[in-house]
Amino acid sequence: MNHIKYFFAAIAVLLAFTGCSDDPIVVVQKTNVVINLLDPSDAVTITEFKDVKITLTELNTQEKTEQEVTGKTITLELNQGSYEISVGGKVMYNSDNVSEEGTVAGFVSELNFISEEQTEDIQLSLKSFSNDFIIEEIFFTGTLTPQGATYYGDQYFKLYNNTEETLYADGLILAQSKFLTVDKQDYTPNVMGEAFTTVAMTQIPGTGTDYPVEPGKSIVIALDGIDHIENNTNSVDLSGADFEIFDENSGDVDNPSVTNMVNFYDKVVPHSRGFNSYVIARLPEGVNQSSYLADYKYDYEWLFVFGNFQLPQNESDYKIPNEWVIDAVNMSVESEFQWIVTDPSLDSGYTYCGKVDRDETRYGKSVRRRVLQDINGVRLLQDTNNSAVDFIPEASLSLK
Amino acid sequence: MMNQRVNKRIFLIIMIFCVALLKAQKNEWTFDKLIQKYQINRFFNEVFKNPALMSGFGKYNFSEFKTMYSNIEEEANLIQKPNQQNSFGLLASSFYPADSTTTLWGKAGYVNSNQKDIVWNESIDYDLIYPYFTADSVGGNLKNESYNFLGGYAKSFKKIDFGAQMSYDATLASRAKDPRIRNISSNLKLKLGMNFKNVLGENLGFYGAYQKYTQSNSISFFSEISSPAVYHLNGLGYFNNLLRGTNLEAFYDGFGYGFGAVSSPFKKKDLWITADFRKLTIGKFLVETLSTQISNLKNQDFNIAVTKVFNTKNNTFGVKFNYDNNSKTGVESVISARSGIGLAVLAQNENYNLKNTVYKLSGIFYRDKKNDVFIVAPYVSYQDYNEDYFLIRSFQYFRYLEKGVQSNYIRDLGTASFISSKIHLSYRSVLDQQALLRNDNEASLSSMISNNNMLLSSNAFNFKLGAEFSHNIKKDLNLFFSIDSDLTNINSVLNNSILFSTGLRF
Repeated sequence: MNHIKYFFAAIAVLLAFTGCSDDPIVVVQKTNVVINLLDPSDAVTITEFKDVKITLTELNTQEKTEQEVTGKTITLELNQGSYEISVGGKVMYNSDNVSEEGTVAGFVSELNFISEEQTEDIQLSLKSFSNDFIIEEIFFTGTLTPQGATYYGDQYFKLYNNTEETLYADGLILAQSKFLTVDKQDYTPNVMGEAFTTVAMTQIPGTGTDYPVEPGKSIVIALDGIDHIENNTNSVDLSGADFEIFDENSGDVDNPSVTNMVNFYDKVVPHSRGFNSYVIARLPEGVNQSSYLADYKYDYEWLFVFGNFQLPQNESDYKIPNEWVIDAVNMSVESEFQWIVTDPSLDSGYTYCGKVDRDETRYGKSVRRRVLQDINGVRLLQDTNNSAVDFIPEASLSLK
Repeated sequence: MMNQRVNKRIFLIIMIFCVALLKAQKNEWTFDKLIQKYQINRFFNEVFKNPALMSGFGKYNFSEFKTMYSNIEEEANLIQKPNQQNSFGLLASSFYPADSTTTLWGKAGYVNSNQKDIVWNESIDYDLIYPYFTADSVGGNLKNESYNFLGGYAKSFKKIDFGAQMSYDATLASRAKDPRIRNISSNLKLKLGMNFKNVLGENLGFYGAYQKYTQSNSISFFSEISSPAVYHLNGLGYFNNLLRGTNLEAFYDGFGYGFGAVSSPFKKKDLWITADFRKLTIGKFLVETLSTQISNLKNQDFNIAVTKVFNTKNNTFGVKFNYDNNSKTGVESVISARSGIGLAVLAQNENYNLKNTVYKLSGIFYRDKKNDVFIVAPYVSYQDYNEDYFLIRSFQYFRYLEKGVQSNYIRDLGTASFISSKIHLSYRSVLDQQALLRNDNEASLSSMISNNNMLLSSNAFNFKLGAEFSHNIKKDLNLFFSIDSDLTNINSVLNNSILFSTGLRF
């Protein structure tokens, strides 16, 4: 009898334990989010959102939330998390009492939503489009030899005349960013809203009309304008490049039949994993190399932080005013991306070759601008000042 | 390398000491000693989780030193486990009732194995840390060494028994080509128990346990040109996208506790009721980012067993009911990675849950004649398996029914030789299954989850056969040879394994 009593006692314990087990419904917390979109400036007031979209990407899961924007205040419910936010589209705005149509962009590389209710501001920028060259392709990864060794020197930049008029490449500046898209720092002063901070610049020579480029045509700026296939059968022939970057002080290769670029400031050497961004720019009337180098250097500070260790840093670099920039491309690596290093008005996204750092599949690939249409061999390339949508990442080389 | 040599030396010293100590015991080797490990109390071996009750484990000294070689081919296996494994091992064990009130037991083991074709899992100790593996899409083979030590002591008094047991397991795993792995784990367990005799006609035993677990994962690449991405997996093939890439070092830190109770009648000793609870919580940390905790896994086990034994004149019958509930709960960190100060934990959410419940009814028929022992133990079990991932809704549920029978036959051949054999047959059928699994542009992970699901949703037939021959080469020294084979048919794929052992008993 005692045995049966104990047996049922055990069953009761079992049932009690089973009954007390948790229901597995403790999931992600939610945040009620209010986002205020700020006008591009005091002088520019947005009056109507015609075709604007906001995209919020939760960075831990890559889950995207998209919503049409109809007003300056957006309310939505999100899972708590760390978000990358981009806003873009057509608006009507007032400037000096004149109503105009324009394209706006906003980009925040990280906003963390961790409270029940949270309100954040996002600054919008009015996108500027110039009737000038655009960057068509950047090949920066280098190639692998048939034996599997890395081969560099065959990188190139391709610029394109996306207009209907003949343009002159004389004096175009190609500049490499100082700041890395994989290393976000709090630089003081932060000049990104007004200028692009650069670490190296190279310039197409000429007097103004020496290098015409017809509509729908490209020019190639090679790191080394030689036939690299002779050294590496997986590489490209750049002996027909329009220009090459040559620095006699660095053991560089010079092909005398390819015009050398002017080493405007230091030497442009693309980061092989794509951590830098690039712009092309024109100096305004009255600014030349000497006056630029004299007048456009600036000092800034930032704090190096590693755990509890902090070390103040002081640096000086050159800046290119955003008004001089005619095109910009941010590049990064998806797994390492921290921020874009241009103002969103120049470029509000980034493109890449390689989703992770040292991606073994990145070699021999480039980023190439998308073709909107091709009429009788004249291509119109996509240019919305957002490299995330304007470029095909990890594309095959156009020169191969 | 240095640590491995030191570990091996320490292990060999302990083994030699154990063997010398064991050999110092002078005992004749008899059939009664051999069948001790098949006696009826193995049917309710849950009671021996309490070290205070180990005095009832046997009445003869029993010591064994053996070498083992095994080869396992498991083409039908989970992708994150090896599909081929060969091992060599050494094991010394001893059970020593010193006198009527004192019992000692101990074990020292070493296993060296080559595990092949493990993909999407660059961690070790699968059962403890699943699903939070460090992983990459390349994988490969692993060299694995494990060391195991166990020692216990029990003391009986008139009204109370005490017992203590300590065990330590260490594992080293490595791979000599990219991705190069170096994993080390250690698992320390301590138990203290007591048994109160004749409390209102019952024996009541209680024990408490402590566990400390650690594992370090390190992946490196000799190639400076390129390397595959390293992932830190969450449940059901999902991973934290911010951590994908080059976080190559991780550390698991675990702490656990447990307790249990046993009840049996003081006089008749034909009914045992045991209940055990164990909890082990393991946190996973990224070493290169100042020990950012990325997940916390809670393993919990709750077991109840009720056994009733009936003795007739010549035979013994038994029936047992087991309830086993194992659960895993995973809490994952929401990470910020773009603040410019490295990784930071913003929040933690309970995203993963696994519940595995087994109800088992087993019986035993035990016949002990003077020169032979015959055992038949049929069983039937119902298993309810539920695995959920909530962050991105995904799940797989299974209900299984398993029926099986095991039989042992041990015989004294009369010339100081003995044989023993065992047969085990079982069939697991899938009663019901449901799944919602990832199937997206992460093709390799989606394929892995799909393949694992297909395996888990398959019926399986298992057949085990074992045989042993032993002979007294001296009065107190028994030499044995044994072979064990295991065949499992899943989806027309045959997994097989074979184990050869030889050694000495005294």
